[in-house]
Amino acid sequence: MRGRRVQVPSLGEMLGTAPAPPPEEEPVRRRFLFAVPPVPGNVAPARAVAAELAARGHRVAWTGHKDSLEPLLKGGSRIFHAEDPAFSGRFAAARSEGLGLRGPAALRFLWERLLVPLGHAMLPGVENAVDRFRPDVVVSDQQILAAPVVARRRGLPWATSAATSAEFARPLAGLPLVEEWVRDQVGAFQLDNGIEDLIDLRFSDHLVIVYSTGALLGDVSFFPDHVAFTGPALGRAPRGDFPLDLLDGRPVVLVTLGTLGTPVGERFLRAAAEAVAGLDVQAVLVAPDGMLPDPPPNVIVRPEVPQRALLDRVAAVVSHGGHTTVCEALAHGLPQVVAPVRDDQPVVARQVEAAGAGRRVRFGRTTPDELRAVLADVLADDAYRAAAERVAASFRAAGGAATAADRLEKLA
Amino acid sequence: MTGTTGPAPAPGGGTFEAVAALLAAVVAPAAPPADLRPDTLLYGDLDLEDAEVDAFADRLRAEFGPAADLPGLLAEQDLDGLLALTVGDVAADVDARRGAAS
Repeated sequence: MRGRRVQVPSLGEMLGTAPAPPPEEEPVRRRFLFAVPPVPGNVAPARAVAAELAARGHRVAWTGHKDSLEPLLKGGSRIFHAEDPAFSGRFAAARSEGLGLRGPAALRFLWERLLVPLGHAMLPGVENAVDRFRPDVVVSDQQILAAPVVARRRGLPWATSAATSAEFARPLAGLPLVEEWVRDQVGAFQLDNGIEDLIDLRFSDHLVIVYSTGALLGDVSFFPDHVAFTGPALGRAPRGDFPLDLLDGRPVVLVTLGTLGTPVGERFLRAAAEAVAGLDVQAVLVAPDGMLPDPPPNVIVRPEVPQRALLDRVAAVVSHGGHTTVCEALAHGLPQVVAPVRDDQPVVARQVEAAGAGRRVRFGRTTPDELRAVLADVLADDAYRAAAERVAASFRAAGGAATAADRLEKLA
Repeated sequence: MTGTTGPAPAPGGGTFEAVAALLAAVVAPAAPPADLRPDTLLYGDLDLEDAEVDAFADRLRAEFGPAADLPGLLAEQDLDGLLALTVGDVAADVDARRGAAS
């Protein structure tokens, strides 16, 4: 398929031809099928929206890699397995193989080795899930190519669940040939599956749920009504233990690289520990046991933390710019230092900086001095916190999972 | 860094040295200017980050004027082009755009 030039309507064109929203109806009991990749950050907002729909009496089921999804979903969730076994092993290996890549190499890897093969591998399972569960609406994570194809074949309404808002900032606008290449990957996937009427599968023309708001993204007024900026869908905070009595009253800085592979993050985490050693703060630094055997006295190293609970006690967050981590911290009105690594993270870091809620630093070559100066500035200047609180207010007003569920009900 | 042979001849007279010095300041403390060669890859070797690309573009403009257009050079590349882009290519592009502008 490579090298075949296909015409996929651009986001701009699609937005110009958006259908009118459906008329208001009394909510009735409907069936929603969620298609997700085996990635915690992608599953988390979908899980919150699914929980809201279930609480309203609707039926919810999932399709994806069953063994990976089970620990990420509520016990007893109905999961239709969708991935061929031979591919699943390769997918896990490919994901870890790609962790060391950044920039253009990471983008090529994402599409050629992960998203397109995942789409092909999931297609039969998603079709089976649709035939057995008979959903009224298919909710497809933005990275799942199979579900929109199946929904279109079956004539079902479908929604995009955009776990990161990066695509709505047109991150490749400055690289038009690369942007076109991505659209060609999406187009070729449809042609391979016998679809000639090509659309950009990342953006449903029925409903797109974006877990962010204009306060972070910038101007979103030009998006049509079927693109819903709901703010983060946080759901119930996961449980976890953290000895809060270790916190002594100094401002607390949380340093986390989310689920990023730790070998990639080791240099940065060491620099961060050294940076905070010179500040009158306490740092909670998420790192595996043994990576920082002798941390400075004001650094508490834990292999994992109950992040959402801890955010209530935190003054600032240093992270890799994962959309979920950044938005959880912003929902708490916390200023941030963002060191983006790859994929959508540089875009998210720009958003934080542009919103005034924090500062962007380098990931690969940041020095302790550089990081200390930036973190001290973010802690000292109230403007960052005020901007983060403005974003938090916009998130609350946007309604999160409840708004997403309202919109999905109208689609059913 | 790329390769094991000695430094290749710098393209564009002194432009390469000037471009390399600007880039070295951007990626500090990682690469002293002597480590940057014309065939050093911006992405493959240096893993240049977004913030560093922005800073490099600013420094090029400050040094060579508005004709030095790194975003313009990047915009002409496909994925293969980006992955193959070298410090020497940036220097040559600066010379070409300055030549075209004068």
